Amino acid sequence: MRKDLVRLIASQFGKGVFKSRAMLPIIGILLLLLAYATYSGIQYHDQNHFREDHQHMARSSWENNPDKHPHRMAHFGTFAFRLKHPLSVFDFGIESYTGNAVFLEAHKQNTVNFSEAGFSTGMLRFGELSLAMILQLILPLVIFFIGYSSIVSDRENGTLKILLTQGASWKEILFGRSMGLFIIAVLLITPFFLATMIFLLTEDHTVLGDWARFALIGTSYLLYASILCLVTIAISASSRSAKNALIKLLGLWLLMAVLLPKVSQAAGAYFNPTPTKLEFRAAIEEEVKKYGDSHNPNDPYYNTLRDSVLQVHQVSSVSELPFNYSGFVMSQGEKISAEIYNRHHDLLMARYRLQNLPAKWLALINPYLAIRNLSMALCGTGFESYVDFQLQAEDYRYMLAQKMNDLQIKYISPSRLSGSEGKRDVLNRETWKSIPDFKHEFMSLSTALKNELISVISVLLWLLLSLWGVQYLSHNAKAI
Amino acid sequence: MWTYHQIRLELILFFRNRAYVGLMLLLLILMTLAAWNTNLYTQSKKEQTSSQLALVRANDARLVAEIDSLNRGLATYESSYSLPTSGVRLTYNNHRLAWLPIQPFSLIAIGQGDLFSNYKKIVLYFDDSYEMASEELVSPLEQLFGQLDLTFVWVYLLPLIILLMSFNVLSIERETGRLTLIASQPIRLSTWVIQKIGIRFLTIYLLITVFTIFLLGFFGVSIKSNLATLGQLFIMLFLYTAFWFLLSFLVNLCGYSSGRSLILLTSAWVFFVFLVPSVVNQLAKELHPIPSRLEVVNHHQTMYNEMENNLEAEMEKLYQRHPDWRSDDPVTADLSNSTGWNIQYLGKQYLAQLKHRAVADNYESVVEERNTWVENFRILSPALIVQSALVGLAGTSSKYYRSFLRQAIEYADGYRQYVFKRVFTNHTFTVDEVKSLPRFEFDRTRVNKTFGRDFMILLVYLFGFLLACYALSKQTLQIK
Repeated sequence: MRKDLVRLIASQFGKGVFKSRAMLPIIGILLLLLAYATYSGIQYHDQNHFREDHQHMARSSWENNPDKHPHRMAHFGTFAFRLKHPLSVFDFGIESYTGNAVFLEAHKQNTVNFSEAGFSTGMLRFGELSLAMILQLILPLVIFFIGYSSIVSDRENGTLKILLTQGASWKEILFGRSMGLFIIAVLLITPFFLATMIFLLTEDHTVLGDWARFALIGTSYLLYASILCLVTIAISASSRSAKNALIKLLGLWLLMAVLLPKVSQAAGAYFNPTPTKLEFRAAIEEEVKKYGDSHNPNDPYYNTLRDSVLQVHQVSSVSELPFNYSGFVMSQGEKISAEIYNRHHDLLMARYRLQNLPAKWLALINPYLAIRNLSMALCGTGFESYVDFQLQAEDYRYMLAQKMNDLQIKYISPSRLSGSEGKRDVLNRETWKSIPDFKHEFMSLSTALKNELISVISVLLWLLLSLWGVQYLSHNAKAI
Repeated sequence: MWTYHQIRLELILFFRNRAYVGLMLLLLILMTLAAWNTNLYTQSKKEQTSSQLALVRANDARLVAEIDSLNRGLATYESSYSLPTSGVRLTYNNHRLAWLPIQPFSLIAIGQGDLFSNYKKIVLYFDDSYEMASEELVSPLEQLFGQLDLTFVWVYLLPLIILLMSFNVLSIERETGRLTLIASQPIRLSTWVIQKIGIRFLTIYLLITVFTIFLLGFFGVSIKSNLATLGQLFIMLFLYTAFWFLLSFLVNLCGYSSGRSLILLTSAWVFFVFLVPSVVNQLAKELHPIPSRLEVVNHHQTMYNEMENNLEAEMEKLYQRHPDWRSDDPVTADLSNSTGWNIQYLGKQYLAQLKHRAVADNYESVVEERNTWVENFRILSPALIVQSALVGLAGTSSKYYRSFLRQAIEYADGYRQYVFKRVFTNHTFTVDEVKSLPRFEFDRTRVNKTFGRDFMILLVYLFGFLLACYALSKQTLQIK
C-alpha cells in the first residue's frame, strides 16, 4: 500500500466533503449542540458546590448540637453526599437516576434518595443532552451521513473504475477514504474534548488521575470514531446503491444505539426481577425480628443476653454493671441489623449486576454499548461508582452509630436503664466535633477499568474486526 | 380522480416490495415484544399490590382474632406493647395501604411505573419527612436505558419505519426517469403522489390499530368497556402517523435526491424525538430549579428539635388544638409505660409535622410549577405530546403518581385523626373498630386530562404541514 496515495485519497475526500454545502449545516448543528451540552455540563457540575455546601451545613448542624445524650445524637444523624466527579461534566451517566444524598442514622439504613428522576416528568426518559451523548449517538449519524456514499457513489457514476484503472488499488482507496472520513470525525470530536479540557483546567478539584481518565476517554472515543468510519466505508463499498448503504447504516444505528440496549436491559430485568422496596425492607425487618426485639421487655433473645452479661460480671441487675447496659444492647442490635442489612444489600446489588449482565456482554457485539459503559465508568458516573458510594456511606453510618453507642456505654450512668430524653445524662457538645466527617472518595481508575474490561476488549476487537472487514473487501469488492 | 385500478396496482407494488413487508413485520414483532414486556411488568405490579393488601388483611385478621381471644378470656398479655386492644399495638403492627389501581390500558405504557410504587404503606407514626417520595427499587441502568413498551415503539420507532417507507416516493421516480413516463399517463402527478403516500399511511395505520386491538384482546384488556380510551388512543396514533407521513411528503416535495431526503428526515426524527425533549428538560431544570429536598429534611429535623426542647408547652398546644385527645388516665402520661411513651412519641411527630407542612407544601408547589412549565413546552415536539398522552391513557404518567401520592397523604391525615383520638385517650379497641378503620380509594377524576389540548396541538401541526405541502406541490409537482 502506497502511503502517499492513501494520504492523497484521504485529503481529496476531506476536501470534497468540506466543499459540499451539506457539511455546513451539519457542522453548525454540531457546534450548537456542543455549546449547549457544555453549558449544561457546567451547570450540572455546579451542583457539586451545592452538595459541598450542604455537606458543610449538615456537619455544622451536627457540631452545633448542644450537650446531649449520645443516643439522641445517633438519631439526630447526618447526611452523606455523593460528589460529582469533575469528568461528569462530559458524561452524566446514571446520575439523574440515582440519589445524591443519604440520611445516616442509628438502627436504620436509608436508601440513597433525592434523584432528579424522582420528581421530574417522563421527559427525562428521552435522554439527557451531554457531550458524551452527542458523541455516542449523534456523531455516528453524522459520520454515516458524510460517508455512506463515499465508495458506492463512485461506483454508480463510474469514477471508481477510472480510479482503479489509473493504478490505485482497492486497499488504497478503501483505507484512503476511511482515513479521510476519520480526519473529519477527529475534527468534529476535537471541540468536545477541548471544552472538557478547559473545564478540567479551570476546576479546582482536578487531580493528576483525572487527566489520565481524560486521556483514556479521548483515546476510547477516537477508537470508537475509527470503528464507525471503517464500518461506514465497508458498508458503502459492499452496497449496490447509495440509498441502500444509507438504509443499512441507519438500520445498524437503530439496532445498536436504540434497540439492543433497551432489549438487553429488559431481558436482564425479566430474568432477574428485583424485590419491591417494601419487600426488601420487610425481609430485613423479619430477619432482625428473628434475633429479637430490643424494645420488647419480654424478648427471649435480649433476656438471655442480659442474663449472660449479668453472670459474667456477677451482679444481679443491669444497674450494677460497670457500664451502661442500654448502650451495650444497642451496640449489639446495631451489629446484628447492620450485618443483615449488608447481606440483603449485597444480594440486591448482585441482582442489579445480573440485570446489567446482558448489556455488559452485548458490548462485545455492540460498540455503542461498549463506549457507553466505558465512558460512564471513566467519568465516575457509572453503576459501580454509585454502589461504591453506598458502601462508603453505610460504613460511615455504622461507625457513627457504634461510636455513639460506645460513648453511651462508657460515659452514661449504668443506673440509667433506658431512654435518652431530658437533660440528664448528657455529653459535652465538644464531643460531637471529635467525630470525623463523611468524605466521599471516588473509585480508583484501575478499579473502574477492571470493571469495564469487557468494554475495553470490545472496542479493541471491533477495531480489529472493522480493519479486517475493509482489508477483506479490498480483495472482494466489485468496481461495477 | 383515483380509480380502483390505480389503487390496486399501487397496493400490489407496495406489498411486492420485500423491504416494506420486512419493515412492517419488524414493527409487528417489536409491538408484540413490547406488549409482552409491559404485560409482565403490569402483572408483577398487580401481584405486588395484591400481596401487600393481603398482608394488611392478614395482620388485621390476626389482630381481630387476638382481640376476640382476649375478650373470651382465652389469652392474657403482660404488656400494653403486645396487647391487641391497645393503641401501641395498632401503631406498630397494623399499617394501612394506599394503592393506585392498575388502569385498563396500562398495557400501552410502563411510563413512570418503573420509578414509582403503586402502593404506599400508611403508618400512624411519621416515617418520612418527605411524604411525596415513593421511589421503587430499580436498577439505575434499567432506568437509563428505558423500558420497552408500546409507547416506545410508537413514539420512537414507528416514525423511522414511516420515513424508511416514504422518504423516496417521489425522488426515486425522478432519479430513475419514471416520472416523465408517469406524467405522460392520464393521471395528475399530485393525485398519483398523494395516492402513493396515502396507501402507505393507511396500510401502516390499519396495521397498527388492528394489531393493537389483537394485542389488547390477547393480554386480557376489555375493549368493550374501554371504547372511549381506545378511541382516544387511535386518534393519537392517527395524528402522529399522519404527522410523519406529511413531513416525509413535504421533504419529498422539496425535490432533493433520495439520500438527501433521508438525511433530512432522519435529522428531523433526531430533532423531534431526542433533541427537543432533552433541551426542554434541561431548560426546565435551569429555569425552574427545585430547591434541595435536603432543605426540606433539615427543616423537619429542626422543627422536631425545637419542639422537643419545649415539649411540655407544645404538648399543651396540641391538646388545645384537639381537646378530645386529652385524657385523665394516668397511663397516658406515664413515660415508663409503652402507652404513655407512644402517645408522647406520636404527639411529638405530629406537632413537628404540622410545623413542617408549610415548607413541604411549598416544595411541592415548586415541583408542580416546573412540571407545568414542561407540560406547556410539550408543544415543541409531537413526540412529546403523543408520549405524554399515551402514558396518560395508560395511567402511568407522573401526573397519575403524584395525584396518587397527594391522595395517599390526605388519606393518611384522615386516618391519623381518626385513630389518634383513640390512641391518645388509651381507648380499648374493639373488633368492630378494627374492621371499620378508614380505607383508601383512589379518585381517578382528580388527575388532569389533557387529551383535548393534545389533540388540538397535533391538529395545528398537521394543518401547518398540509398548507406547506399544498404550497410546495404547486411549485414542484411538475416535470423538470
